Amino acid sequence: MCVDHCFEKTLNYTSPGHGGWGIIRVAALVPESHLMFICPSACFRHGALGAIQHGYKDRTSYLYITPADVVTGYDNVILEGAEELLSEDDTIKVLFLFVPCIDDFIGTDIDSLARQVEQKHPGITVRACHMNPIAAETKKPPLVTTIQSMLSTIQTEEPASELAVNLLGSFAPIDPESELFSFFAAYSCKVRQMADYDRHTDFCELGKSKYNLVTCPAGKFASRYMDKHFGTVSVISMTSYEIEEIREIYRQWQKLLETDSCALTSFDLEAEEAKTRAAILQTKETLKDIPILVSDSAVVRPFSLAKALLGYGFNVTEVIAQDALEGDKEAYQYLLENYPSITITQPRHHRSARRENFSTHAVAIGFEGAYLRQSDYVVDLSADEGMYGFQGIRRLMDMLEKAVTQKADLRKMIEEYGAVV
Amino acid sequence: MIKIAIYGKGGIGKSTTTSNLAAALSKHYKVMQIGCDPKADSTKNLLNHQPIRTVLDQIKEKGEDVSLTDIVYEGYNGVLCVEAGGPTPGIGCAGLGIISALQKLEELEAFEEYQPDIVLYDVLGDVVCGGFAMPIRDGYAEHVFIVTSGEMMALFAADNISRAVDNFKNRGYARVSGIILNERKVKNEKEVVQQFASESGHQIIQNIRRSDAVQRAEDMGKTVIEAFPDSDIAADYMKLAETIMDICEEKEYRKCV
Repeated sequence: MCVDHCFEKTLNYTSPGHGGWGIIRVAALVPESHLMFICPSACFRHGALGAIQHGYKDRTSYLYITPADVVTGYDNVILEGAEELLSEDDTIKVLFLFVPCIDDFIGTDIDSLARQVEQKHPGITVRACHMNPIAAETKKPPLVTTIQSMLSTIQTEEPASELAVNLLGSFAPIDPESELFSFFAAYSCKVRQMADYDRHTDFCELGKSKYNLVTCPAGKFASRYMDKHFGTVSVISMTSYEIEEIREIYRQWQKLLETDSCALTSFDLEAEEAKTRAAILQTKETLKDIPILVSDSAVVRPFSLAKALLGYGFNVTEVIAQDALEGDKEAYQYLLENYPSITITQPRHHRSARRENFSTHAVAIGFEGAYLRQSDYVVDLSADEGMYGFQGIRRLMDMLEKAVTQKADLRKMIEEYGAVV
Repeated sequence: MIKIAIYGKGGIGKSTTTSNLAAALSKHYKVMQIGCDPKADSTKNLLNHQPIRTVLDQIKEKGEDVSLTDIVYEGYNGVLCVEAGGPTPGIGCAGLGIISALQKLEELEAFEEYQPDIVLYDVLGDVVCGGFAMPIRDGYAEHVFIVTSGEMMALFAADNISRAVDNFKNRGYARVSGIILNERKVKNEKEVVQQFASESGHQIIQNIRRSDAVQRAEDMGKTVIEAFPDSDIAADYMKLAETIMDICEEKEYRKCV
């Protein structure tokens, strides 16, 4: 295990196992939205392929600009393009105007253009978005500004006061089997998720919820925006696979909901915990000491998952993570101090291109680790999608058990997931 | 908060006018002056020529760790001084420099932190590209004042600026609120500038008389308001400050009713 310099900034290697939701898939979560990309023809090709792969071809348009447009400015081209699109498609309720890095340089006032289009088309919400990878390491990377643009489409005249909670962070919906839903239902508190809606007018309900539950870092930016603009109250309760941490999350929410004079009707936390412990024992019995690799493509906090699995008696041998995020640093330190034999590998380090293969007899949690180590068994999980609470642990145990039943076809898994590389 | 952009041909005396205006306004208001010129010399007479680190210098050096204390300097009578900075001459992009600097100030919530009553943007030359239009966009300045003399090239630039601002009138951008005549002793100067103002639908709001006190004050690293407060030209700047506040406050009042 590395000691002082686990995380280096080097020339990046991107494996076929890397990738998650692209900007198109994220923005398309806003129902009845259409994404117009204004760019030179060479830009966004990757996004275009992703759009086709995910079935969003009909919800994306490309307005190509030329070098001459860049020199002279192309505000009119954008206005004409938006006009043409809106005149041909009357199903669009929200239009996102995406501009690339070029517009950061030439200073296109895309917000103002969006307002102009909106004024001409009452009833259609138009927002500017920036697909500018040059801002990737700033405080406003494309994902953050896109989420803000998505949330800014919410129009609500009422204050955020309904006894309801928005789940913010994971773009995929949480598994409806999660006890999280029965917990909130026991307090008569509705649960809302971005992916729940088919109509934009219904999507705006998110602005009425009193609470936000932030399940992963991407949700932090969203919650800050909602707290500021709608007056929501946000609680950061990241997806966890540690029993004690999950118990604490529910205690914290119990306290908060009791301030709303809500009484808990029926929710058996102890029973959930007992079921989870039984599932862990059963999976441990099946896997025995097979090596487990935890990849940050599978979960947002890989060190915390590794710590939890080690605590349950599993044989975690490697964590494949580019960095230790804020909410994962404590677990990272814990592993350094208590499990010095565990290997920590940066998947995007140039050395990872060598794909060193110590033994294929291992279970990789996540595609990227599976690709780098060519492991026989793979847990098909990305970005904690669908996972939350005790049921999240049980589902992971189930996935681990299923993974070791047969050798994985990783290529097929990646293609089926539609990871954007 | 009142936000004002001062435009005009290069060398016409925008920075001198802006810093004297800032010094005059600072008698009654909390003022922030933001120099939007790669030369980074807009605020030097408010800072006694004290060197200032520009926003772009600090972004280059500290990346995301830049804080407001790295880029906001307190000058004469508490005027808050910021210089956007710019690229190395001959390379890079000056317009992008202004965009980056103003976005950084916004990101760091400079106005929320310092809560100035008045913000002055001192903008280099003509509105030649998107970067130079940045200070007049929605959320930045609401008022543009153009500094000009009676010289042909200064008037030509003033006309370009006026047209550029007018082009954006449907976008909620700033509007031209007046012409400042910075006298250069050109023949029939007042008449010539008055004719330009009338033809472009603006008004001359103040004549700044020619005076060697400006140069003497600048040699001392000061504005005339600080160095020669009893001079005629200091009186011109005080009057300019008063007129500008009348115009801006009147418009603020109209917005409210």
